[in-house]
Amino acid sequence: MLKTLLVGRCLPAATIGLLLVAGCDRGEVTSYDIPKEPATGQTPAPQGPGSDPHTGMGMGWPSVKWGELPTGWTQSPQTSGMRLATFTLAAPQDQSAEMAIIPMVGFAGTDQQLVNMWRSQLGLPELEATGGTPPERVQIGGVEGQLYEMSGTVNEVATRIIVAAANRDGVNFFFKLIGHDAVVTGQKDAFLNFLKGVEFTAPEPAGAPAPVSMPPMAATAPSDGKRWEAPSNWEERPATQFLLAKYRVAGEDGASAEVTVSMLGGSAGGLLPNVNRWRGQLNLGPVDEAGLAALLQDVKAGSVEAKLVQLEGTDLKSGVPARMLTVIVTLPTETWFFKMTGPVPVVQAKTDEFLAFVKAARF
Amino acid sequence: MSLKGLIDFFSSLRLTVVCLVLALVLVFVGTVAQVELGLYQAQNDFFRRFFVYWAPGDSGIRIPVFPGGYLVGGLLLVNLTVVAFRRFAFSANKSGIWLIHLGLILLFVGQLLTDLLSVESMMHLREGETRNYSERPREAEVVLIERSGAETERVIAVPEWRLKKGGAVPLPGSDLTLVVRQYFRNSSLERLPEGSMHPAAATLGFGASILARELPHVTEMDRRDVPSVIFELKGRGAPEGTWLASEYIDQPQPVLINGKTYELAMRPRREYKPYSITLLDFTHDKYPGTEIPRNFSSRVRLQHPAKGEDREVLIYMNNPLRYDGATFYQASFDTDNLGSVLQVVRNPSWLTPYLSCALVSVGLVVQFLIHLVPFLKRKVRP
Repeated sequence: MLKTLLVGRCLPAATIGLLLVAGCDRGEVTSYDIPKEPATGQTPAPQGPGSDPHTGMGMGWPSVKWGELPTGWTQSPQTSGMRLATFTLAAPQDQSAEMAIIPMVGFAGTDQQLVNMWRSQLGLPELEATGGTPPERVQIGGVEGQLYEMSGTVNEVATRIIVAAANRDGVNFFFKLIGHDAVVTGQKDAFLNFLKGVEFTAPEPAGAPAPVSMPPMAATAPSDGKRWEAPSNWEERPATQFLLAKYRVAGEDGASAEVTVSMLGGSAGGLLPNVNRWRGQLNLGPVDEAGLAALLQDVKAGSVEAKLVQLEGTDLKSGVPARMLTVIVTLPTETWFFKMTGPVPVVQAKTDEFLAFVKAARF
Repeated sequence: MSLKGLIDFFSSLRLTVVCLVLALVLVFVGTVAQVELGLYQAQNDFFRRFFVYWAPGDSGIRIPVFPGGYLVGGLLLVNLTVVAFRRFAFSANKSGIWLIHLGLILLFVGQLLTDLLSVESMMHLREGETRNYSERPREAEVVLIERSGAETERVIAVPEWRLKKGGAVPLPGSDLTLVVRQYFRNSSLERLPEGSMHPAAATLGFGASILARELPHVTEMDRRDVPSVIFELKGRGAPEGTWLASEYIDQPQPVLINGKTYELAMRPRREYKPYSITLLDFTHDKYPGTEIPRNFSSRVRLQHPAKGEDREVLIYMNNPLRYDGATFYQASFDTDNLGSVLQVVRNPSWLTPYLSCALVSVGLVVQFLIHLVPFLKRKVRP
């Protein structure tokens, strides 16, 4: 009887029970409170398995070089993620400070959001849009940048953050000094001297491998010759890896717009994602398919039908009102883009000239 | 098949032999497969499965071709149990046999529980640094952190498996919903080239300037996947558009929702503990005159305010700290010898191998004595 019970009932029940607990430690979506963490930032990546995810990001973006480090600074042996370098600063017992170089590929937010993020690290209230003093100017490797400084407390320890930011070739470089207030204050001069001595290096043009999903890119004009003729008053600028042609179109009062020509294979990733990306560059929200249809106008590019998208917003880089005209020419195997971007008055004044340029193209 | 037939099948010695042979083959093939697949993938494909599958080409079809570890182990466990109950009476002269079988059953069950319940994570500490959490290096989570509290910060964490599943994820403690648009198990990020017409990974935050691409799953022991996810945040006051979160982005992205600034990040999944560990000193001893490591040790301070504990512990090779259900092993260290990595293992069934070995040992001795004593008695009888 006992055997029958054990074999017939307990065993299957135990087996099912064991199987049920499988996967019970996957963790659920949770919300919890934790004590505020000290703002010590990242530490060097350790040796050993699982610590070095990839050998590099292959970003192909500009970088930073520096010479001799200030006294008491030591570079941490490895950095992680997108951090270019981290330096530990000499500090008395029980105190610490570090400086990190963080390149950020563009930032679709505002300076205020960044400042408020750093302020929140120090337990400071957020600033309103008009609050706070404008950042100081600072020289970073021959580039003029902004200097932000704030102090507060982290876990009841007086802490100071000094951030220098500069944009180089579309990449925002942040040099963030954080640590005990006394240490950071004492190191400020050394930090500013360090900034002066850094050197931005140019991106390697063909260093980054193309994404797997990216259609093949054309680096040169088609073999049947150039498809367009730019007006003589447009100043030709050096083309890049991704642009077949680039022109500077002068307006009044020294302002200018930029015209670019590029081509991608296939459908170039789809029209809607491209349009929404352009809208993002002008600080405009995304649209859906219906919104996209309302934006498209029919134009001619040579002998083929093309679509024109006109967008107006605020240029995220310069912060000034800007206008963007893009003509998209969809061919069976490739997609061409003619784009004019610049301050609103310049683009408005040059719209007809631009459309005539596109219309004269040979397709 | 009748119940008797079923019991006959499960108590058959042939089943034992077949299972042992299958286990032999499985262990051999699974071990060899580690060369190509790496340890973790091989464990999952051969041992943590009921079947080993073969997927022809890119067909998406999976054909079971061999019994996996769970099936072979499960059959052996059932076989062992049924045999014990069917063949051996509950009697004193069989007590040794019972103890041996109980020990083996406990070993099987304990190993299954270890596989299902044990959790490994890492705690990386620099000298002087204190942490109250460990991180799972092969699992990520997306977190939204709200830091407006004076003493505490509110964290909403979505584990990676939930991101992989896709769809809408209601975020507890808020009226927000995270809607997954694309999940990459392994990924790489690239700067969106100036003037590129290729769409950015996302429309908001850092992702608006980044190209994200999927990479093949990494199986080597010394590398790991770096996941990324593209998602939307839905809810009152949430900005419209998509966000990119990736373990590559080690800087939190500010997200402004209803006047509150959240920090968005993807990071290794964290396990918070009610106590904290401070690394006081890391020592890397070498044999004199050589670079050959002799010993690694971490002197840590363990503080558990709720229990009033505050003590120093020395963790070194083969001398882990066992505390509150977790075991802290000395696992690795920083290249500058100023930081230490502790492997934190939480295994509720860690005692079962010891108990099962003890049971088997006692059972063997008892069974031996049960036969030895009558034999000796017969021998000394005139």
